[in-house]
Parts: sequence; C-alpha cells; structure tokens
Amino acid sequence: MDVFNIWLPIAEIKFSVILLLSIGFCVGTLGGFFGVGGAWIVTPALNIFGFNMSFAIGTDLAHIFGKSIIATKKHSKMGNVDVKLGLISIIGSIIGVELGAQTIMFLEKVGDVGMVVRWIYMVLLFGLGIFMVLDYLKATKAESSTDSDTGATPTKGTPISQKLYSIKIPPVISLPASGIEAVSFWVIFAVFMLTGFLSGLLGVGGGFILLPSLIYLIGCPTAVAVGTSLLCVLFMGGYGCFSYAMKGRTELIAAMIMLVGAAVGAQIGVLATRYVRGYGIRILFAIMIILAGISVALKQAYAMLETPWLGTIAGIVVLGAAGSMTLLIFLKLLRGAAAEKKQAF
Amino acid sequence: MNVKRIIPLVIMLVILLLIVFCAVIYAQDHEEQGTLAHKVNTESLSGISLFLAILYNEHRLFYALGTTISMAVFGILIALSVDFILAHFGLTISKMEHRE
Repeated sequence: MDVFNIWLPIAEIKFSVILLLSIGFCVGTLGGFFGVGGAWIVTPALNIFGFNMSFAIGTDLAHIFGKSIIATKKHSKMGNVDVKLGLISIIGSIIGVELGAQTIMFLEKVGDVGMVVRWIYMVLLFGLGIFMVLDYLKATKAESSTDSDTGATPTKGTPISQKLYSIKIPPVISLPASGIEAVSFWVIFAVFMLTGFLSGLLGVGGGFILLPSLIYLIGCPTAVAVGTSLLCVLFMGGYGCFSYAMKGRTELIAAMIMLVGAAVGAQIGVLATRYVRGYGIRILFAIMIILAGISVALKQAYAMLETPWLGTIAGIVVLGAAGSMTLLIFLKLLRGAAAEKKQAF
Repeated sequence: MNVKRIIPLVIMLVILLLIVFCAVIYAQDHEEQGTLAHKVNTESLSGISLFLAILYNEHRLFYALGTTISMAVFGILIALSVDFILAHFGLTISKMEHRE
C-alpha cells in the first residue's frame, strides 16, 4: 500500500513504514531478551527489501545504538547490568576488534578471505549453538537428579569460569553485580580481547559471541550477561553509527522509524527475561544462533554454486527465525505475567 | 546523588568521548581519501528531508554527529517516556532475582 511508503532522502529509495516498524519491533524484542544488537537479522532484512548493503549496515548500526540505550536502561533497573564488567569489556573489545581487523587486512594481502571468514563464522555459530544445547540438556538432567537425590544447590559460575577464577594474576577484582568474588582483571581482559578479535575478524557486532562468553567464561548469571552485553553493544553501536554516518551510509529517517518499533520490542524482550529462567534464555539463544548458522551455510552454498534461490532461502530462514522467536518471547512474557498475577491473588 | 553512582557515569562519558575522538580522526582520514564524494539529489525534497539532504551533502561531519546524537537523545526520550507511562499505570520495574 503506497500510503505507508515514504521517500528516504539519503538512501534515495521508497520504503514501507510498516516494514521498518516491524523489523525494529522484532529485533528490539530479540535484543532486549538476548542482549544482542541483531545486525545479522536487520542487515539481510533491509537488503532483501531494497536497501543497498552498505546503507543497510549503517542504518542498522544507528538503530542498534538507540535501541541499546533503551534496553540497557531497563536492564539496569532490574539489576542486570554489571557496569564494571561492561567497561572492561568495552576496552578489551575495542583492542580485540582492531587486532581482528588488522588480521583481516593481512589475510587479504595473501588471498580472498571472504570464504574463510564465512567458514569460521559457521563453525562458531554451530559450535556455540551445539555447545549450549548440550549444556542445557546436561543441566536439565543434573537438575532432575538433584531434585530426587540430594537437593544440593548448584555451584556458582561454570566449570570453565571456576578454572579461570583460580588464575590469580594481580590485580584481582571482585564483581558483586555478577556475584563473582575474586577474578584476575587480566583474565577478563583476555576473554574480551578474544571475543573482540573474533568480532573484528568476522566483521560482526559480536553480541552473539559476547553473551556465551560472559556466561561460560566469566561465569555471569544469564540475565546479567544479557544486560552487560547490551552495555557493550551500546558503545559499539555508537561508534559504528558515527563511522557509517560519516561515510554517508546511514539513513537517519529509517533508523528513527525502526527505533520506534524497537523501543516497544525492547520493553517486551527485557520484561520477558523476568519470567524466563537463565537456562531458558540460553536454549532459545542456542536455537537462534543455530538457525543463523544455517542461514550463513545457505549463503556459502549460494556463493559456491551461484544459485540465487539459495540466497533468498537464507534470508527467509533468518527472518522466519526472528519472527518466530519474537512471537515465542511475547508468549513467554504473557504466560509469566499471568502466572505472577495469579500468584498475587 | 551518590558518588559511587557518579564514577561509572563519568568513566562511561570519558570512554564515549574517546570513541568519538577516535571516530573523528578516522573520519577525517576517510575524508582525505574521498569517500564523501556521494551526494544526494535535493531537487524534489522539502522540509526535514531537504534539511537532512543539505547537511549530508555539505556538512558530513555535522550529519554524522547529528545522526549519532539524535539516535542517543531519541533513545533516552523513548526510555524515559515508557518508564513514565508504565509508572502511571503502576507498573514499576524493580531488581529481579537471578535464576538459572
């Protein structure tokens, strides 16, 4: 319907307002719930519906910046943001991203790195997704045996984070907001440099790497990992927004409209974390990144076989996954709120 | 206001300024390389669209700063408005218990 189409002066295209609001809403919900920017959803979505690729990335980064402010503020009110950890993550990530980008520059001189990057991306998405699914299954099994046998409470952090806590290189800091009593600053710094390096290498925002790292390597509670990851995404989004706008690849009007949709979605996503326990968030995140991995695999197949319909299917997979997951999160929120209301009476 | 709450905000502000500073240097570097050559057509535009297009064509640094700041301000305004509306209906957000 033409009435909902507006002219975007910088991108120089006509685009549907409803579509922008819908994309914003979906990615806002997912961002608030998982603590990710969601560039891997918005960029292909805008691109499929007519945005030039570089404009899609720039506009997406601008909206991610605004959305992260909204979601981080909300998570902060719920006690889900570890500011100290977030600040270390920003410094570590910036250095890591730069190292990753420099590595890409070096590899480009050697040959075509596009294919290699996509393979690493796929391995990372499938690897993390499968690891998180297995961890969920293990925890569910352990929980049922704990309930029936001893009634013992699970230990804080994860087995990997416990090992990392034992490395006591000074300065050793405490992170009360994450429930971590003592951990070496350098261990945390190294973890964030590694995640930043992977982000820079793959050319992605890094929320999907940061969230599992905060949970499994640092040992944050899942909700704190979501909030803290968003704080990092906020700074990265701010930098990306400015950088792409300076290159003339940001459509401000489209980003503003998407932000309106994302603002509503982010509220839903953040509130839903209140009603879904940590492992619930983890398993949904694992499903989401496995689906993203399938989408990247289809893109890889498209690049190798040069069959355009594979590229279209890749877009449909990622958009379908985003839409379905948004609906699922919304239903979880409704169910949780209804149960809470019932309990109150 | 509690001093302990101000310190992280000051640190965040300093980091943000550093990022903007680095971005400006980076952007100037790109300007020299001629990546700002792209101009949009302003003939059929009016109002806010025309204003943005002129800013984009002639003052790219201000366009970039304006985009970044307006996204931040818009985000903060929406966050505050939603909080206000929810509080009006008695829906206030409080600290939650973390369950794994």
